[in-house]
Order: sequence, then C-alpha cells, then structure tokens
Amino acid sequence: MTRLDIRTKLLGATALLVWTLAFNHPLVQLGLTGILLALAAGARLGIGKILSRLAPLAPLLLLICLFTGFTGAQGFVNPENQTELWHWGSLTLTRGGLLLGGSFILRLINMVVLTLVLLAATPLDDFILLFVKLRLSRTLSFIITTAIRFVPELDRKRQLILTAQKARGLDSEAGNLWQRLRARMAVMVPLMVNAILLADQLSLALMNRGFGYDSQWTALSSLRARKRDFLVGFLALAGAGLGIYLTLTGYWGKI
Amino acid sequence: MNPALSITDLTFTYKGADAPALEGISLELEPGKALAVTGPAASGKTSFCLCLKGLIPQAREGKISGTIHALGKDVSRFRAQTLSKEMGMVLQDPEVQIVGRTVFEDLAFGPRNFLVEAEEIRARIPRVLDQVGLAGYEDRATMDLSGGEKQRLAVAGVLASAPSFLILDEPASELDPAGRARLYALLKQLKIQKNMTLVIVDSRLEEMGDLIEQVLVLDRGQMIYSGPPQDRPRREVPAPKVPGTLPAGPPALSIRDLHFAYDPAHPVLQGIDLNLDTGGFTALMGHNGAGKTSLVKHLNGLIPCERGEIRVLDRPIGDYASKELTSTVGFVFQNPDHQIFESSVEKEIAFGLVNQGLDRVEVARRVDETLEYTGLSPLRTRHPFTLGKGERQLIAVASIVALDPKVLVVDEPTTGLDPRGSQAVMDLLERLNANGTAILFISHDLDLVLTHARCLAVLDQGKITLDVPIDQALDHRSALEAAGILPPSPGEVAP
Repeated sequence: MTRLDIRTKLLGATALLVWTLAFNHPLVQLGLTGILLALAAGARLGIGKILSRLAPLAPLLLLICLFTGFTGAQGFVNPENQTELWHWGSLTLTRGGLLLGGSFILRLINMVVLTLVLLAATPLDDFILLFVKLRLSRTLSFIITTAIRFVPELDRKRQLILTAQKARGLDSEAGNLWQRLRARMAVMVPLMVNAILLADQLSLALMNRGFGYDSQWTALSSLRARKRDFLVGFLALAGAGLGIYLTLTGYWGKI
Repeated sequence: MNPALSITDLTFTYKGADAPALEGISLELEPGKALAVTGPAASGKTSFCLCLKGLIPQAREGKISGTIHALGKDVSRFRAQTLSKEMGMVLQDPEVQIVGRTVFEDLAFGPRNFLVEAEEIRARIPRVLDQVGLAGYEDRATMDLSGGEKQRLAVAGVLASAPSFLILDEPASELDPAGRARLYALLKQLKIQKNMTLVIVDSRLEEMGDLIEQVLVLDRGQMIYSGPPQDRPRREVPAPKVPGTLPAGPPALSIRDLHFAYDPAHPVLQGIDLNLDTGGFTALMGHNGAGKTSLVKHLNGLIPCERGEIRVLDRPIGDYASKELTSTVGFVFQNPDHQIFESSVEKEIAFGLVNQGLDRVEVARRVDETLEYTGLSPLRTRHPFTLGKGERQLIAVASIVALDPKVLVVDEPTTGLDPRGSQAVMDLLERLNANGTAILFISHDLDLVLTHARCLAVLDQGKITLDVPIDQALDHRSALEAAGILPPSPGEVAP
C-alpha cells in the first residue's frame, strides 16, 4: 500500500469513505473496520498507536451511543428494528436505535483510522507534489503537511497537560455537565497556548534550516502512476460506484 | 587572516523585557577554530547563538545593537535562510528541529531548500548518518527515535547541508559519555579536515579537551571572560549546604524495591529504594531518560505502584483515595504553561482547592493565605499569561502549596528562569521546607542542588546509584560522572 501513488490512495480512501457514510448497518461498518485494520498493518501502523488516537474520543462515542440508542422507533427499514426494548417516560430504547448507535461509533472509528492510515502510508513529499500539481504554492503545501505532522506532537502536549491537571485533582469524568466542560477547558486552554508556542518554535527551526531560501526546492521524486495504481484505482472507483448504486436502489446495508 | 566571526559591542533586549539578554559582547574567532560558550542557566548562551545567525532579531523580536560579521558577512544585511546555507545551527531542543516523517525526509530537508542536486542529497545522507552513529536509519520514523538519537539526527540534519560554520546549542545534553566522546571526535575531525569554524554551547570543557581553542563565559548576559580555555576563571561552585539533623520518626516517603516498565523488554525502574525524611529536602539527579519522571509519577498515583512498595506518611500509597493523595503529595511540573488556564492568579490558585470539593469560604481563605505566603498578593487579579515565566512558575508552585501538601515533588523548578526567578522559586521551596514540608526536587543544576538540598539521590539507568547527605555528594565523583553530572574539581568549590 505504501508504494501506491498518492492519487490512487486518495481514490481508495474516497471509496472507503463512501461505504462508511452510505450504509447504516453495523456489520457493514465492522467489515470496513476489518479492511482498515489490515491496511493499517500493511502501513506498519500499530494497534497501540490507533488506540491512543481513539482514546480521547471515548466520551464522544459513549454520548453518540446513548443519544442514538433512544432514537424514536420510526424510520427503520426492517420492522424488527422498530421493536421497543425499554422505555422510561418519553425516552424509548429500540433495537434499531442500538444498531444505529453501534454503526455511528464504528463510522467515527473508521474515519479516524482511515486518516491515520493515509498519513502513515504517504510521505510528506507526495502530499507536497500533489498540492503543487493542484497549483497550490509550495509554502502553503508545506504548511498544510507540517501542520498534519505536528498533530502527534500536540497530542503529546495534551497528555502532559492532562497529567499536570490531574496532579491538581482534576477529574474530567466527574461532576455535572458544567463541571466536566470546565475540566475540558483546563486542558484546552493550555493546549492552545502550547500550540502557539510550538508554531513559533517551528518557524524559527524552519528558517534555521533554510526554508524559504528560494521559491523552489529540489524534487526528489515525481508523481507517477504505475499499472498497479490503475488497477487499484479502477477497483476503488468501481467500489465507490457500487456503494452509491446500492444505497440508492435498495435496502442493502440499511437497518 | 580575516576572522570567521567578529562581534563588536553586541547588546540585545527581548521585546517587553526589563533587562538585556546580552550586553556589550565583543570577540573574534579565526576560521577553523572552536569557541565554547559557557555560563549558568539563563546567562544568554542561546540568545548569543541566535544572534550569530540573524535569527535574532528576524525570528525573535527585540532591540539589537552592535555588529556581527560571520564568514565576512554583516549578518544584519542577510536573511537568516541565506546565512543558513553556510552557517548551520543545531538548536537546543532537537524535537522542534526535526521536520521530516522519516530520517531520510528530515535529512534531505536542508539540502533541498538550498537546491542541492537530488543525487548529491542521496549520496550525502548515508555519509552524515554514519558520521553521527546512525548508519542505516534512513527509513526509521523520526517520532520513534530516542532522545539521544533525535539529538544525533539534529546534528546530522545540519551537517547534511555542508556548512562551513557550525553553531551547536547544548548538542550533547541527551547523550551518554560514549555518545559525547563520539560527537566531540566528529567535531574535531570537521574542524581539522574541513576547516570548519565551531561555536559550541557546552560546559564540559575538560571532556572537549583540545577541540576548543577559545572560551566565552557569560553571566546574566555579560561577558565575564573571552580567551583561551586554560586562562578562564575557575568555575565557582557553592559549598554544599550543611544537611543538619532532622527530627526522628518515620520517613515522609518510603520507596522499597520499586520496578516499572512501559514495555517489559525495556525496564525503566529496577528495584528503587529511596527514603525522604519528614522535613527532608532531597534532590534527584540523573540523565534524561534515566527514569526520574517515571519515578516521581508513582508518588502521587499518576503511575500506579504495581511492583514494589511506596509508603506516604507511613501508610501504603494504595490506601489513599485519589483526592487525599493529591492533597498529601503535591506535584509541580517543569513547565508552568502545561497547567495555567485561568484568567487571574487567584483563580489559578483556587483551581486545585475547588477540585478538592472545599466550600467557597475555605477556598477564599486558603487563596488569601497562599497569595500572602508566596508574595503573589500584588498580582492576584493579573492574567497569568501577562506575567514573566518566573512568576508563572511561582503561580504553579503556589497552586500546589494551597493544597497544603506534606510532601512536595518538584520537577526542574528553575528551568528557563532567569536568576531572579530561580531565586524566588527556590526561596519559596526553602520556606516551605523550613515549615515542615518534605521536598523532593528533580534538577540538572548541581550548583542549585548543592545550595538548597540536604540530600542527593542519583538515578542512572533505572537504579539509585547514589543516596547521600549533600555534604558528602562531591566525594562520589565517579557516580556523578556516570550519571552525566559534571562534578567540580576540588579547587572550584567555594570554601
């Protein structure tokens, strides 16, 4: 996978995105998760790294599951899914709601893993070459790609900040909604300050290494599609087309 | 012969600063010679290096006067990027300097900016990797490298651009003795074979030996000395504090046979035994990566104690509820900007107290008391980010002091602070200690440790290799040296 042309990778990513957005059945999403994990292994992206990126989303995933679990009983294609499992006052838990919650969670996971796989399997240079082909300036291309690369560094900062706040008794999961929101602020504000400081240090480091010496730089590679790129690209387009066809014409993959 | 570097009356003041970071610096350095820059923390060493390359004032605002000519160029007339082609600089923090996803990408970055031919870049990279001891690392992900490897990569990244003038800001701070010896040998080779001019911020003058021809000693931005290394003023190390006797009783903190590893194949802590007496003041020193931060994170439950025993005030640490432990063992981190988020000093100090679940009256009382005690009362309504780093560090300490901990763990409390800020923080710790708070502080600054600590513990490769009263610390040179601590020679210690 790492050897494919960036355009092929983006086509493949688009096809997977179409599938994850088009179908609401958790089994379809689970199948996509399996494919993405296999691709992650191919890109030498460890499961530990994936989990560490997903961990901060855990509260959001839980909220999604709760809200969709109590979706009304209407709107499900399969009558079985309209079955009420439990209700309390105006809140009704349905089988379809639970399936939809599971599907939403897997969809979010799939989108995160897809982004991680794409970044892990694609050199910085390929992004820049693509942006240049799209007539974006090299400086802008570099800024975009470097910003993407600094996401893990910011995540490391987030961990340090969280540790420092925990040492002052912060518990981001305790208390009412306002208290939990305030706990998030205690992490977000220092994180923003540190992001600004990091950007400042980075600009100095880039000048120090000659970035901006000239409007051009040495090209070490060029974008070149090979046979395998055409093959994978064709399969990706066909897959995306099939996904769109299925979702428009029938009930497959719906709940 | 024209000098490679000529500086006349260089003075620089950062925007918004009260005092100049550099004042009246003048010196000359011949081509192919090496200058070592030394001095205590915050003496202006990094600012000096940034001035040489024009990064001050181009990337750091402030008021600059005087002249700098490097390789015959007036640096004020050239862009920093243009100067970078001939003048390489290894920054103090290698993390920030590394921009590539892989080692190859990172090393190619400099030469690509300077439009070096692709074939030449491909040929240079294995060569510079071999020079820094990272042969075969081309495809390694930069984020997976250790601290020492990143530092070597940062050096290689600058060498890949083939400069004729090299500035290195603390290039060996993350390296072990063997790594340092290799780096110094490489620099000597570059100096002799390529006639490279070197400016190296490093205090290990004895280790660098004949690599260095000239020394610049800075203190509070002033040039204390410039000349050959043999004539430099001797380093004045304070005499160790008299440890005194502490009241008998169980230790405030007791660690027995503590083991820890993030990954079983690479143990971080291997059988740690350490006591902190009630009212004790112990300094913990050691290399970066020796396990100091992992050890202290066990002390307030940030890392659970799974193998070994930790007792706090004679109770097993596992018996403490989370909130009780947080208020018993306070923890101040190295960087105050990792915790400050409130809009005023008083709110920042109140944050931990509110988390403890105290009522408003009690929170207000303790905030007032802490502001008074720490001398921060005049700043109580100020926004913390409008204050200097020294004051922000004081706020960070104060927000923990407000919790009234019996044990205080402080991670490098004076890093990046000017002498006044350092003094204010250490004075506060001394006062807390005099009032009975047991203090464990991590530091790389031996002078600071000798002045303030009662005991010294040294951690090396996950083991405590030295644990002695401070007045005996300098008798154990080999243990200090092995842990990367530079002990003074007997003549350098003040009577």
